[in-house]
Amino acid sequence: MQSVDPSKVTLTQLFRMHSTGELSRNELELAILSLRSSADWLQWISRQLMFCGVVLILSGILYVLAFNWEVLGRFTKHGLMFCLFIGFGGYAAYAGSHTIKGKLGSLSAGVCAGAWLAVIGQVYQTGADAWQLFAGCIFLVGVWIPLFRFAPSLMLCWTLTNLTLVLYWWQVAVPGDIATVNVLYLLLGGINSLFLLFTERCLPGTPSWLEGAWLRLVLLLYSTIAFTVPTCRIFLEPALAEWDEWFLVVCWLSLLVIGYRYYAFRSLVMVTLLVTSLLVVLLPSVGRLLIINDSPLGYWAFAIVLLFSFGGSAYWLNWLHHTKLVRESAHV
Amino acid sequence: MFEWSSRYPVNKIPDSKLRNKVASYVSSNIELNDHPPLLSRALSGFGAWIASWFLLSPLLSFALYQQGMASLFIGLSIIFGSVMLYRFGTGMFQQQMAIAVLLCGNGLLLFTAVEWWPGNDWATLSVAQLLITLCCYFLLDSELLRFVQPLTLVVFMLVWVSIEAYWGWGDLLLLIVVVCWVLLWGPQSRSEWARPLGFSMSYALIIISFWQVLLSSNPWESIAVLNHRVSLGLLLTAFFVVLCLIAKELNCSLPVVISFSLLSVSLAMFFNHGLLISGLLVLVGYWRDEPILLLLGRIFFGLFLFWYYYSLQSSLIEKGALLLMSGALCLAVAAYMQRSARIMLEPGRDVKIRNDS
Repeated sequence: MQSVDPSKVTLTQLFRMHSTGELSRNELELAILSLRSSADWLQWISRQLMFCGVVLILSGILYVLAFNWEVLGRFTKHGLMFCLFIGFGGYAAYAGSHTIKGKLGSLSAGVCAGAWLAVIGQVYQTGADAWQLFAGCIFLVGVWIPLFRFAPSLMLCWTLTNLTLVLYWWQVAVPGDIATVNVLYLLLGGINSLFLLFTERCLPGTPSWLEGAWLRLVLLLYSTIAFTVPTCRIFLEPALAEWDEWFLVVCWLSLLVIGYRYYAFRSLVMVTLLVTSLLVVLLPSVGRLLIINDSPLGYWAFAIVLLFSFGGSAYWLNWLHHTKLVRESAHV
Repeated sequence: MFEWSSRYPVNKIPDSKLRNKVASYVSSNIELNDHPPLLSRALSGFGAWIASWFLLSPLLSFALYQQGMASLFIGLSIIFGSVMLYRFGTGMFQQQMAIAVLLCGNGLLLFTAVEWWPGNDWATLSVAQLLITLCCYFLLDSELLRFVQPLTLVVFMLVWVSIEAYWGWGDLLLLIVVVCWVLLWGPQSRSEWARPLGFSMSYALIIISFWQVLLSSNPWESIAVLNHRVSLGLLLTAFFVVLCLIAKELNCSLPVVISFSLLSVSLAMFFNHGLLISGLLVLVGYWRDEPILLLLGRIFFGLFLFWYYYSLQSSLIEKGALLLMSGALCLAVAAYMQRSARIMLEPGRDVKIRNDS
């Protein structure tokens, strides 16, 4: 989303100035060249290649290991993982926590440590469930986060936490009648919402490495999915829902209301996510009520409902965007 | 909070007159009267598209398309009515409604055309869609229509070409799409009417590549829409043209030489359409400051790369070695480029160059 900051300009704004005749072709070229020089281009390409190279090398290592796995001895397997871990960890320490190379090295070392855990499980046939391996991985990736302060490592760790919970429920809790799936939804929605709340409100002055909006977007996405899926099911079959399941609906509604109150004039992407969740829950239920016996009138009525709901949401988002820009410009 | 485009400090512009002009534009709040944000446009467009299916389905259930002239008349009337509604309706909701009704009329006309001219359904669909797209493109300035209709046309043509399997037809389609794409993204003056078509052609390129991968790797029958060498040559030429345009803008040939040599090496190693197309999208996304194009290119680059290694007919050790070599090559080139960029950014270098010149 664009914000009004008169000291900064986007290239899109320059292109628009050119298309409206406010900048000549020469002026446009000069402005672009001074804002984004050959050196910027080289740095950008090198960053893309660096990321691509790390991914390719890690995948290559996996392929090589997979090929030779059966013939490798126990110590060779551990030795290989140890070398990789030390190699990436050493490189990260050499490059430093302030460089992107060091941060990528720390992420790779964390992933290798997690893979080593899987190797231990496979070599010694520990009988560990997948969720236990993932729980170990969380720890091994997590220890690098305070040292290297790399947001993708944090997100990987958090995604693994979500995955571990899902696997635990799937492999242990539900078969052992320890807890129901609804508790899982509640737990997933709860921890993601709380983490989001923590990153937004509880950190004293958000550290620069946590400033990326995508981190919050992913957290809100996880929370929304965790509450939207059961709510959608409850709305489609309200007669079958138990009383405790309605608590999930209350949580979903609270997330929408609190999320909207907080993000309304801060982030349009977040609000769009919340609006989409609302539409996903309400529209199938309305469709089910309207389209009875394949009646053409029901289809047309539902089409009108769709147009109203999507159009209304878009109108609402436009209003938020406009109001936000007016406020920002007044502030500037 | 969520930035789509990179923002550059205005004070990097050396010419004071130009800098003031840009600064006054940025601070003049022109953004306030700008188009609605992309997310709300996407939501509104998606709603219209979904609603059109619910408007169309009762018409199909009445078998209206089998009524001959009557169905043609009704289809054209629906389109005419929606064009009127769009042009004279001022609100966003009326325009969204008009687009949904127009897409419904479009669907009805396509069904009617197939009913009237039995035989090669996909050829009929392509011709009918071409006529409807041409009419609507110049009658209505809707971004959604200008994106969806040309893309639908390309998909119909692609299926038609695949079924007919005439030699060279797929390459001809790719040539048309690539030429449109380069012409739309190449010039700096981006007119608003051409932008949705540019996005449409970008998606079309990806769809063609995906279709080629799916068809040529299916186990029951191996059909190739594209001639491998011809289409690779075509894409390579497009890549070269884009690189030359960038180099011209930068007044510098170094990135072109480096990138082109890198591209040649990767081509020799990968020999893959999808990677080239998604690489092109990433490059143009950065060049033209189009974050959607950049994101699209990155996602599909990852997918095509995964598919390439997954479907390689070689042992795991060969795949592993190839991955390691490509990764090492990428890192080496990245390190070289970092070094060159650092040298370029050294303090005093600009002054030295200016003094020399």
